[in-house]
Amino acid sequence: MYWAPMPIDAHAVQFRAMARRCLTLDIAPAGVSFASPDAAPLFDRVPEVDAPASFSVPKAYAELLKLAICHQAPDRFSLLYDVLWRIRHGEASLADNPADAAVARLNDYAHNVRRDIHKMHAFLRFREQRVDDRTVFTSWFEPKHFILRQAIPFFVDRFSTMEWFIATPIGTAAWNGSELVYGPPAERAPQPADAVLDETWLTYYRTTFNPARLRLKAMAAEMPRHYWANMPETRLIPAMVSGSGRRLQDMAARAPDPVPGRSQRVRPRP
Amino acid sequence: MPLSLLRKLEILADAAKYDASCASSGGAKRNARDGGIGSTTGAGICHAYTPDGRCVSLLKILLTNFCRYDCAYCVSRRSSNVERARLSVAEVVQLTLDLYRRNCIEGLFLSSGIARSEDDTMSDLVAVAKTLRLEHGFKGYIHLKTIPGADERLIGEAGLYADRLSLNMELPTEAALKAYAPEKDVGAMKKGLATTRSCIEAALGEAKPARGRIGRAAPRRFAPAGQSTQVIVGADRSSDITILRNSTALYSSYDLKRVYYSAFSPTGHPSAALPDIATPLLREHRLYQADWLLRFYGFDLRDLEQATPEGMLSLEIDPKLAWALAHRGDFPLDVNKAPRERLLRVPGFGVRAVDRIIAARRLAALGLADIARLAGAIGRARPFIVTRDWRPGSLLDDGALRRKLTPPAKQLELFS
Repeated sequence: MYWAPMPIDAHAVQFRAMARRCLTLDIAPAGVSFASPDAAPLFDRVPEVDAPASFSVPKAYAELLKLAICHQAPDRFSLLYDVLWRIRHGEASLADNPADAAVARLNDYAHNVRRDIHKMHAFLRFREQRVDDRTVFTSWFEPKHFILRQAIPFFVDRFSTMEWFIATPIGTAAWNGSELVYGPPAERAPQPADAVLDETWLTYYRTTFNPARLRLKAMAAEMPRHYWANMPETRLIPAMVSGSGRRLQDMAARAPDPVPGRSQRVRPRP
Repeated sequence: MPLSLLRKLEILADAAKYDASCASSGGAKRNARDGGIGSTTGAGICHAYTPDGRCVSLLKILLTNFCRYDCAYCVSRRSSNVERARLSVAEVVQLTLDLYRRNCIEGLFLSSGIARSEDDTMSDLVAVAKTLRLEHGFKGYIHLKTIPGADERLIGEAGLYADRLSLNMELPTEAALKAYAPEKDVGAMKKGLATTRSCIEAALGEAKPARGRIGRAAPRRFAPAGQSTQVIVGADRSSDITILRNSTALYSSYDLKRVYYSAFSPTGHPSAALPDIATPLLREHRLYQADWLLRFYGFDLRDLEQATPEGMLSLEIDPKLAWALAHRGDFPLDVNKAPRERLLRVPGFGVRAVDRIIAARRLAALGLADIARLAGAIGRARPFIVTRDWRPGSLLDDGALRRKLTPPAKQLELFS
């Protein structure tokens, strides 16, 4: 049994290098344990090899690797190696078979990672701040998986003429209008006030809600509670929900509107 | 005292929220790498969800809720006592950019009451989109209403700046429109939809390479995300089949991307002509399911007519299951052999599930557990399929099958 140290946020390049070493040494999936480099080693490290095997992998596997490796589940590395091993030992189209249990699990991881990236694009909120003489948009966001580098290019495309800084527990990203710099994990700090976010946005969010259509499960399915802490509008939800019954009763009790005098004078223009 | 900007936002967002359309998908991909602000990725993003389960994707507001018309179903009709407000072009532009820079929205959905003439209203809508695009380099999503009766040139201009255009028919029959919106000119509404359609087609036609030319000219952008409409459900007494027949005609006549269904909802400002009674949301949901069957599952109107003898879709079970129960002779289907169009008719199988099954069965004969994994759930499909290790036997002929497949009535969500 060998120990293959993998950082908790290992990306595809690191995993490929280690997997190539294991395959060169003909180590079967059951013979290797992928674990944090900080863990107390129970087994010998996978030995270095001078010339690791070079090979190409099917496109479907490369796609799966790119996303599934971002998942936080500890078994993602061993599942990825298991599938890679079987691809190299006769099951060439394995990554295309969603009925295989390991592939199905990795597909599920990839799906969750894709969703987490999408939710970061959707739910991250910027706050405008004056820093020295510059306007900087800052944000604190907590993704579920190790998706920072997959998610950030979207913000560069969309907000390329703004200066912004995104901090997360898995790293930071800073954009100054021309250059992107990633930094180490950050800790949550108090969020600065922003009148647009704290007043305009909350007013809009509260108003666009229709109390006659309360569907809390649908809301929670699309906007999991995990993300609520960093979305200022979610603190309005309890009052919106508890007030909706009374608003409906008030509406039901209302007689038809008395016709305003103005309406007697206007008509569509011919 | 003049209204504050926040109060105007409140009045005009409240008036716009009955429009069900929220899509920010489709159309051209753009980004701000060369300046300006914003992007569209092709797929829309829902930036938040409200407790009604609907997404917040666009800043959805009216330019003004002053209106000369008196449509009974509309909260902004002139005989309604609702508070009135008007935003300037500059104010809408500022609100859109402010919220966009905080990553709260994908863009703007702008509609309007008709306070002055149709042309004046359409010009104002165009001015907002034009200012965002040309003065601010805005690359985000813009959805504009086209105003029935407005000059064709204004519609032609709107499509140059908007991703999507829409014109709401609001009611499914001309008789209903005559009854509840007697001043509306149905001919002008149809002409508006037709104008947008022909502008879209003309732009696409120009994009084709000329004979003998190599390569192709950049397509002229005209409402790249197409046009849509909305029909209110339950304001008038039209049946579901009437509504779907109307949708089928609208899809084919005007090449619509979507017909939105909006369950009639109390506004707090009931009209004497139309009581403020909410339509069940489930009815709206069943109409969307039936609309999907017509557009993506190969069903035609006759299939649905057969499954809805009274003209109404069942609220208890989904329309595909209702159809399958009425056509048991067509089942069971062998999932390892049946062609795609037959698999799409199996209750509980979505388009993605069918595509996954077809991909997986090339590699191995599928069992019931495989189908459960590929389709996500197996409950509704089980009596209708044969797999490597499963046959429904007499289950399919069971007289109580419908009852067995009817989900228990959901408890209403309580107001906490």
